[in-house]
Amino acid sequence: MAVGSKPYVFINDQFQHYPTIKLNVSGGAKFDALNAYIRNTMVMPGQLIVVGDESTPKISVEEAEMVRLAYGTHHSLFGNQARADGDIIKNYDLLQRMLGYGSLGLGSTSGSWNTHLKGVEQTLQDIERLYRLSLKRGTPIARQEFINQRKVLFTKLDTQLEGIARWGTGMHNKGSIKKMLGISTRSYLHTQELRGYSQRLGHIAKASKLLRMGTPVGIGLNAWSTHLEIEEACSLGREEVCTRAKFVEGAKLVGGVGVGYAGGIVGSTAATYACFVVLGALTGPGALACSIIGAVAGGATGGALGEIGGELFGTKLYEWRQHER
Amino acid sequence: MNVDPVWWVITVFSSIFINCGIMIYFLYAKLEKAEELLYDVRFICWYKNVFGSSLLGRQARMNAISMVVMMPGLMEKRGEVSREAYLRLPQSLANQIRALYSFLFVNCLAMVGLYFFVY
Repeated sequence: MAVGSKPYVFINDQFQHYPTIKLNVSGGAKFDALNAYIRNTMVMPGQLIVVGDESTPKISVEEAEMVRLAYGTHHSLFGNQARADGDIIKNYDLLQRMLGYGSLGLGSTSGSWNTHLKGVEQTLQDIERLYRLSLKRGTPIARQEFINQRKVLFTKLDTQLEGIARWGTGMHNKGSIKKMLGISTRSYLHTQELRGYSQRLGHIAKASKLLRMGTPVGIGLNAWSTHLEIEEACSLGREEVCTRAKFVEGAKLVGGVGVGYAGGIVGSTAATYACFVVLGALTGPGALACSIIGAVAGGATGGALGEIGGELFGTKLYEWRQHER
Repeated sequence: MNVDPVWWVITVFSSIFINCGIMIYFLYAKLEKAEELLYDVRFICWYKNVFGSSLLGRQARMNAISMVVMMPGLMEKRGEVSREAYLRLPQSLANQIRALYSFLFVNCLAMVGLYFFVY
């Protein structure tokens, strides 16, 4: 009778043929059933492979959940056209760290960047309104008034898009504002709309949404990664490996998030102080940029250091527990 | 004396977590009081409007307050905070914020030390 083993998932780290993977994990008919969507294809890096309990043909709830997750990943990779792009896998650890701990710091400043982007959005709406109003009137005085008001709004937009402050707006501050926005009075009269205006607003809305999600997504990814590490260790079937993974990975997560948070505070504070002392930037886009860069760098560094410390502590804790037993 | 590295980790991490705990207490118990006292300082109002009242937003606002207490001379010299505004902050509150941020920077140094001498 076959001995049952716990099902698990792993991330495929290179472009390889499905039968090779199947052979490596000694998969049977159930392996085919669980990985039906990639069966007999070239499997791309980043895809999740589900290895089930081959002792029974029945698909458990846990296996079904893993398949759902793996299929979701497969779908996302295709959706992002990352099919054969090994860069995602090569940089997975870095991406995860940046998302996880960097985003702890980023979260503190993303709200403010969101406000900044809303300011850009408001200026764009004002420009659009101004063009619309100028069409309704049409007298020479109104035209002069329109030019003056447009100049004010363009200067405001120019300030709002200086340097790093344009990030997330989808606009490149090169040449004249009219050129950047893709507008001229003549084209506006012709089409009755600012070319690409809605596209740019869409860009801004998307960036704001992503920024708001930064911290929860980062912490969620790390928690999920911890869960996967523990699952993988426990699937090997040895209880002590499983228990050790719970201690070590759990402590790594707590250390990473806690110290990452503290690192984000220190990074953001130090960068804010430095920008004021050296550059004199205390408010506006410059101060925001300093705060964000400092928070991300501090969060990522703190998170990485916290993970190392957490691992040390978790290992020790496990050893102490073993001595007690 | 050979101390197990894990004890250094426990000490520094405990210190950091205590620091974070006190910081969170300040964010909810003292921040608004300090902001009210600095009502006429332009950049404090800017931080309050821009960063909002989430936990991390409050943290950024606290950083702004800390600038007033950590470098009052430079702030006054550059015209960001008036002497009167600074003096409106009770000395005890200013000292508490100063101690909290000093504690944070000491923890940061301890973490760097941990990295170079223990890991």
